[in-house]
Amino acid sequence: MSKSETVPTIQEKIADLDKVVAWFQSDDFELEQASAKLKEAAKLAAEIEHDLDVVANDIQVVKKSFATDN
Amino acid sequence: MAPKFSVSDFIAVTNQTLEYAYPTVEIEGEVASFKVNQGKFVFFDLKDEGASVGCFMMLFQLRVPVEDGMKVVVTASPKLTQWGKFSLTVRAIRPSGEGSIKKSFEILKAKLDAEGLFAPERKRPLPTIPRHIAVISSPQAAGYADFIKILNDRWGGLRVDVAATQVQGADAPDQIIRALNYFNTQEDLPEMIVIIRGGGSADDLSAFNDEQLVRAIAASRIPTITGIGHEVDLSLSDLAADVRAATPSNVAQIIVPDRKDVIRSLRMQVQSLIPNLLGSVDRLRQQLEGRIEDAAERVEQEIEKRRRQLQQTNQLLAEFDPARVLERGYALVRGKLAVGGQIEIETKNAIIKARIDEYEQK
Repeated sequence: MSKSETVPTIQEKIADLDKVVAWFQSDDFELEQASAKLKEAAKLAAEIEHDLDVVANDIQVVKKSFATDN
Repeated sequence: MAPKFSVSDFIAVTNQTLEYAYPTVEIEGEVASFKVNQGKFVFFDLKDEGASVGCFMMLFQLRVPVEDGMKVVVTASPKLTQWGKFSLTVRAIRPSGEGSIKKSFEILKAKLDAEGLFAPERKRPLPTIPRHIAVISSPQAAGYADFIKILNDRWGGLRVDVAATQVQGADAPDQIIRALNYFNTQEDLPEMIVIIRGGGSADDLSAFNDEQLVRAIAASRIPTITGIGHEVDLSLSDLAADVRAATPSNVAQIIVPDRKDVIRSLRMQVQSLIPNLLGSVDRLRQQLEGRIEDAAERVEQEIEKRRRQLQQTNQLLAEFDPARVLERGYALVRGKLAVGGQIEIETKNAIIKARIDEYEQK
């Protein structure tokens, strides 16, 4: 498995953060776990912010010609 | 000496000369005597104030509605038929001039609208934050550059596959249709297809009113968004797309959030957890305090209950005290209960010695 397949995307990290935030509002909330969850949320937010600052779009022009049917 | 030909050779040589001199021409004129034969063959005359020329084309090549009196531009090859009649073999035809473009637009719009191609219930939502998009445009066009600039300013980490096509002229519709088909048949489907072109004249943008292109956009299994021309330029492709943006730049604003807004929102989300956590601690503390108060109250109630029970017991015991009985006027008799027997009678205030004179059982 290549590295790119294991590294979560920005969208996956945002989804993970949304889950952690939702946990604080849910019936699953437990005070004993809250501190760890808060740290997890802060770490994810910092990673997403970093990714958004440095990750560029990958723009590729398709090699195929659309001038003819072939 | 003048060259000598058979009739067939003369026509063949003339056609070779025409093909060499004018392989393809564009001619603007007004349509007259428009008719479709056998549901396949289209015949009409193209004329102006001083001349007229016959035109022939296949019906499948007719991509826009045409009527008599409409001003059009045909892309054609001149040809002498075997009967010696000069005509234009038309490959493409497009309306020309504001009036004809508008009329053709309205006719096709009414037809496709009646088929439900523009129905609101057909519109599909675009993903909130896409990971993989396809773009159909001319990478040399200003509109494409505007789109890419805004896209890169706003968001990162996006895979963008670009199909380079013409975005105006007779070949543009087919190229865009091929690009749509290409993206719709990929194994790794993009999440949306973006079709963009910058501003231009009504004639420049007329490619986006091509019937087959409009149908291909409506049939796309991948949601589509268009950004064609400026806000005032509404094409049939815009109407068939799932989302219509006003301009190419506006497409970028619609399909991805601004990273600055997202970062601000992330910070607020995490910060909002802290008062949430502190609130939970406070609620727990209040619950514990409440429980302790409840427990103390229950202990006090129990003590009071026991105290009352003890008081009642003491009162009961006091009722059985002989002194209390004597207090109420009764007397205590001790001794042998028989005639002649000596007895002792104790009252509240005295102890009396007495003898029994008479004794009878009840």
